[in-house]
Amino acid sequence: MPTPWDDILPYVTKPARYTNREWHAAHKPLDRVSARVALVFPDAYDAGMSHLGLRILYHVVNEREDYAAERAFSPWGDMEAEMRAAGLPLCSLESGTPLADFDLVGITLPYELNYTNVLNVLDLAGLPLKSAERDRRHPLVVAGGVCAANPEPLADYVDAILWGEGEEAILELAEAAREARSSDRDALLRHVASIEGVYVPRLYQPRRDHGRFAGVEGAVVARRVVADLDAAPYPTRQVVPFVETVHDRLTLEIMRGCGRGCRFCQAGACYRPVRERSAATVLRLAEEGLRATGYDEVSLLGFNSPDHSQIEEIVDTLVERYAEERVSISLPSLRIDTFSVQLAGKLRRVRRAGLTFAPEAGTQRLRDALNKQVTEDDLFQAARAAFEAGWHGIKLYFIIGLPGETAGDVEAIADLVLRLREMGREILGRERRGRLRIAVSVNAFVPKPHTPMQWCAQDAPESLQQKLSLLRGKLQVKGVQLSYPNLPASRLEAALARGDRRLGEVIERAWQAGCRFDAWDEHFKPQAWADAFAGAGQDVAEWANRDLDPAAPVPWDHLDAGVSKETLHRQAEVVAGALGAG
Amino acid sequence: MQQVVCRFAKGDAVKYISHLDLMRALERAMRRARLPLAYSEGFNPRPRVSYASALSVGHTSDAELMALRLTSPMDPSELRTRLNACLPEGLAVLQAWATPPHQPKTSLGEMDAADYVVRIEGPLAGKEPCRRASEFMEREEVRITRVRDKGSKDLDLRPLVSAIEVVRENASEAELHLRLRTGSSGGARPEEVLAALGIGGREFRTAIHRSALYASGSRGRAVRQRLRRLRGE
Repeated sequence: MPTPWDDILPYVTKPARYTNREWHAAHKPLDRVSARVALVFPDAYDAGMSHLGLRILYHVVNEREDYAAERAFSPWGDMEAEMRAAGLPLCSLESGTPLADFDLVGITLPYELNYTNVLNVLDLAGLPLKSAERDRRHPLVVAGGVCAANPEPLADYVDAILWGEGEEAILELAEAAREARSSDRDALLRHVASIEGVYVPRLYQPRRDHGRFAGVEGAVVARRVVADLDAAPYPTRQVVPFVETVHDRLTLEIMRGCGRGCRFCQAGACYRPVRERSAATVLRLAEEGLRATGYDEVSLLGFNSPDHSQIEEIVDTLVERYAEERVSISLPSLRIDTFSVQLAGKLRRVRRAGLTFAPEAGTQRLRDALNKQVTEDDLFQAARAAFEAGWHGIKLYFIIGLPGETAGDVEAIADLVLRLREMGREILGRERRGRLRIAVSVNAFVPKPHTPMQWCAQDAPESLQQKLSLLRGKLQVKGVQLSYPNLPASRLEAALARGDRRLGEVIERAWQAGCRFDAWDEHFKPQAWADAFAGAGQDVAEWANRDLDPAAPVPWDHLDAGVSKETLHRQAEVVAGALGAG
Repeated sequence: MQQVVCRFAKGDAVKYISHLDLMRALERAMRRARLPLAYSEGFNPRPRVSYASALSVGHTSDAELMALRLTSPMDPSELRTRLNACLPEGLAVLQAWATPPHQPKTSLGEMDAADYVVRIEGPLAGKEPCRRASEFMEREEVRITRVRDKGSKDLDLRPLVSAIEVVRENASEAELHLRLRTGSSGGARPEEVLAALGIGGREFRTAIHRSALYASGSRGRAVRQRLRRLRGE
């Protein structure tokens, strides 16, 4: 089957990223459907094919007999160079159709550091970059995903934002986009703005006062939510990639939303309310999915899978039913308690990979401020249970740079890790202590929209650097592996997360300077970004490292997650109070 | 325990997937086909499937071989039908035959020679592949530099090439048949032969197809005979 790229594929790395023909890829004659949807993930195929949202939307659109969805991903640097040299546009995988020929181009926004790739996708597709420059000759460009929580930095570049869940809205958008070629673009945009959860940036005007954001004119858009998750469509005939992907397994979403209420985390607000798929549904999806794909691993996806009310029934049944076929079951997230450790004990894959706990902070004072409802005792009990049950490895997640954090709080992280290590060595005994591995993953606090900590500054780079050095010094011991963030990238993430439309120019300048795949450390170009901020007359510190005035409007005020600003304010006061108590 | 050997094709649609990708794709298809696969022991059990010499990314073939261990006997033709129904486009089992479990594991590993059909389009005027091929075969030694991810090494290409036959040539296209050493103890890549003949590189559009795998050792003769019989030759 020829692809538009046949002549260049022999000369690029991992050419199978661009060829498709995977099992269950949908091939519909595009000239015989009424709506053609290109689903674009602005990262490499291997990352994009691990994304659940993309799989769900692909399924939902293709289930409609008269609609077709095809996929496209960001070409890697060598492929982009070949495409540009040969003058070839970005095309869909399935039929090799240029993206510009679709009715709807839907772009996932999974992460702020994908934004340059979004612009690159539009450019490689041969589309004008800005929404205002596109008209009835072009597809409707809609973006969605978790960054829809504050899409303002991309507001000038997309025609519409889908704020919330896409199972139903994607079909309504596809239906509207059938008119993309025939109707006046302004009329089309006004029409899609009437779809629940759809935000059309061009219909909103931000105000500024002395250079500061001062609010936006326009109706509030409420997040789109699927009421009945158990009845919502879910793909079992999932595309089975040839290329090894980041999560190369059958993904079953057993619950959506998170009720834990950690105050730094967007999941509580942006995926609420907490909903479950019933055990019966999960077991049916597992059976259909395994038969249809041939995968040998099922991942039970949810922000807190062990919180599912029927988790034991699901795990026990799956383990028993598929043991003979060597299907392994995995839970990507764990609570810090012995129940979770016992649950994980039933799972072969987890046994091999190690257990992951997220205490997030080293002191109770900070954990209380974060509403991380876990004590040091909980952590030690869970870790003890894990070591006693035979694990040699645990992984711990921490955040540094939290507001009000002192050197003592950071030292407490190192102290906690060292005491866990001591306990592990003791339990494992002389013979096995050499195999002890404590992986410590440290991230910098990034204030995220719709959280009670959205107003908090990210810690200054010099301060973060000092804290990291402190941890590095204390944790250079056998059996402990420390991984830490790319600080300039974390700072950019913070700036973009809380940015308004003025950051669009920064992104565009960075993209023009060659920034791509900024989420990949080896591709991140800190100097190019610094130049882009300077060129656009913006100060990254002003966006990332400044406490926002809680009384002032924020750029995402017109996007309603379902948590009132009063609630966020109250929670923010609790954070301040808890920190003050230290 | 039963063992079934399959000869299978890797076509254009999947020519860019790597050997590891191919193994995963085949094993997932076997699971979809619900074949009674035997598994290895341990934390990470794998189906007990072995493969002959890996095909390079970008090449097609109708001569690939794999051996499947099964926990219960299965008619090879039924296995072929069931597996083919579950294989992605571009992959197909062409033949399947049962063998005693001890034999094919060794003989698949002994595949050390391969035939390739190479079709070239491009500016071939004055390139004289036929003359260059006979010159190549007459030489005692052909030194080349093989560049890999981890540095490069010099080697003699000549002893790794058993035959070059130029079946067709004109100013814009040519077809060559190559017989090359392959396998774990070192082999030649068809692209290296083309480069040595002065017809490699980006100005040419090249399609490389593996048409046969051989074992040159004594046990190989038995496999060759069996294959020939199965092909009805």
